[in-house]
Amino acid sequence: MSPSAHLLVARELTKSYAGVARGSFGAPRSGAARVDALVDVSFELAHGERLAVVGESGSGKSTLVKALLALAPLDRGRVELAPRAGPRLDWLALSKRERSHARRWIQPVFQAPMESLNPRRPVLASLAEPLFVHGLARGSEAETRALALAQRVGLEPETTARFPHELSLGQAQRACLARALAPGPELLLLDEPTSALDVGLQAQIVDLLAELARERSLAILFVSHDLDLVRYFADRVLVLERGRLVEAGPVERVLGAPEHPHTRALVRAWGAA
Amino acid sequence: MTSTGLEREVHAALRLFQRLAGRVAVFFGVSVLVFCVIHAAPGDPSLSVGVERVESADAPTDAARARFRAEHLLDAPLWRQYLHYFGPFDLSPRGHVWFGGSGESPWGGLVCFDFGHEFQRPTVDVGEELLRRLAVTAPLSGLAILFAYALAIPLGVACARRRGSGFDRWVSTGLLALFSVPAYWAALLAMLVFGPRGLDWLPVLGLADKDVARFDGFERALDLAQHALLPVAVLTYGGLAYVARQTRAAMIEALESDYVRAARSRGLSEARIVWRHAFANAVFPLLTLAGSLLPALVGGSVLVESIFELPGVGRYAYEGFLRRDYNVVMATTLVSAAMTLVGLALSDALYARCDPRFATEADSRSSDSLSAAEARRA
Repeated sequence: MSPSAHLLVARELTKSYAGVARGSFGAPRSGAARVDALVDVSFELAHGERLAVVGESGSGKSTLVKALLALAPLDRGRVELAPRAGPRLDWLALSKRERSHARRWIQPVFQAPMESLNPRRPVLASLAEPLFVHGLARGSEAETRALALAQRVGLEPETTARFPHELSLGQAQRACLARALAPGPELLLLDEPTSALDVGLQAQIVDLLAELARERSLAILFVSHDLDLVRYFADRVLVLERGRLVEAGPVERVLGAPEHPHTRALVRAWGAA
Repeated sequence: MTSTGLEREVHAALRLFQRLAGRVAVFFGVSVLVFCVIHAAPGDPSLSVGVERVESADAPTDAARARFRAEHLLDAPLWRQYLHYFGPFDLSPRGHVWFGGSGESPWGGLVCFDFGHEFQRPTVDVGEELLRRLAVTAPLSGLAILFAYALAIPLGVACARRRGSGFDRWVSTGLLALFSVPAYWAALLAMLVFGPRGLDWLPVLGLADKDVARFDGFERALDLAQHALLPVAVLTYGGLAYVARQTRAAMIEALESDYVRAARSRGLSEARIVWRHAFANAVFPLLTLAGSLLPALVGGSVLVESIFELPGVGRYAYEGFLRRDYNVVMATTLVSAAMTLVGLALSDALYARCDPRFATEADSRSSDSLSAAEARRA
């Protein structure tokens, strides 16, 4: 697979948080140490590529996901997005309105499937919403397409009439996946997509993801601490340590013959566990 | 494990009945408790000032007092007094013949919705007077609750959205300060500032001008609005502060949830995220709160109504306490208790209506589709 151009190019993503010390009325106290969450992180992601991000907790993985979803502002950095079916975008510099439209290209699936579904809405409503919000379908057509999506991820039509609390974990994760696919994204951002699931379910969801990615030539960026999953699923891997990108490259090379001491430690720790 | 529709409905009905029976039991428990407490309180109704039937002297004569005490069973044992109050038999000298009465008025008491008559004004039926008072209290408290919610929800939502900002800090601090101000102090302050002794902008006593009879429709409405403005404002602010704080807390939780993050990354409009996704889930604690405000709606505020001289239920309770009028005290307390229970039931019902996790319809739907799936598999 040799994609012609990059779907996403990230340059010098940088973000630091104020330390926890807070003064009266919650205002940051002067002199409180700042914590670096991301420091000059740059990488590219090709169309249809599967990129894993690994690192310890606190290494900046979640910040990276939030930044790429434009949910939290960065201090510095630039993300270029070039979807095949749309114009090239300066993703982080878009106006609110432009970004709302452009969000259809990047869709997330979070770690906790139950908490990611609005408890007040039946699954079908959650699946249909992205369709009419992005003007892709309306009324009964949105419903038909939502049902088709549900079927594609393995949810029976009557399951979609249920509320989230009536679903099993696996069904909820499938619903989240269907919802992410609804607006026709070119990049799926997965934040520990299987860590809430047991081993059998993990395998099912991962296989489903692989099928979908092939079928729709989706690029996937996923954050995980499960190196077996990374080996099995990813083409390339980024290793983060305290906000810095310490190693990047093809999975076999990085995890098979790690160059950076931190990567070596991660691989050793995983092998020992 | 499948259950038939009939079994499910019987089960639901039983559960409903259980809850209802529990609430009725609580209500009668409250009535016994209040009855004991008020009778244990020092003071003697027959000594009260202004026993209007006693013609000659300032203090009631011994004969009149004895007649009064006999009529209201004040010398009878407490359990007999309670049974008299509870009904359905009237145990007084004029009551049912079974209990040694003359048979003039055999029935009465709480279970017949008969709250008795006022001690000092025997022609006044407490139940009817309570309704007249309610016509003052209910609209005032209703408006206050309405304003409190109408202001608190946007304020709380705005604070939650700008959490940690200067706006949030100042509004939150202001609301906390407001919440800490006692209502009687605010009422007196409002009277001093806006009343005839201060800026003289608004009338501060009663609900109508003394010349109201000469006013036409519009003037009358304006007069009423002017009189009601300060009491409603004083009744509003405490609830406003409380509801706003609750709204803010619930909204912060909802806005930080994964489903709101997911909604945001789907590119929904901010209004849709805030109201359809976050607020729709943050509204539950507010519903519970609304149920607990119902007793205030009928009970009124003893302090505020007394200070502004409004002839409402709260003031009625206060007058009843002062005169040791057991019937008035019982009636006002029990109506509040009943409304508390109704409020609880109402917030339960609202909860079930709004939260799919509590809805029985959802239960039946899921088990239906489950059994359908089972049938297919078989």
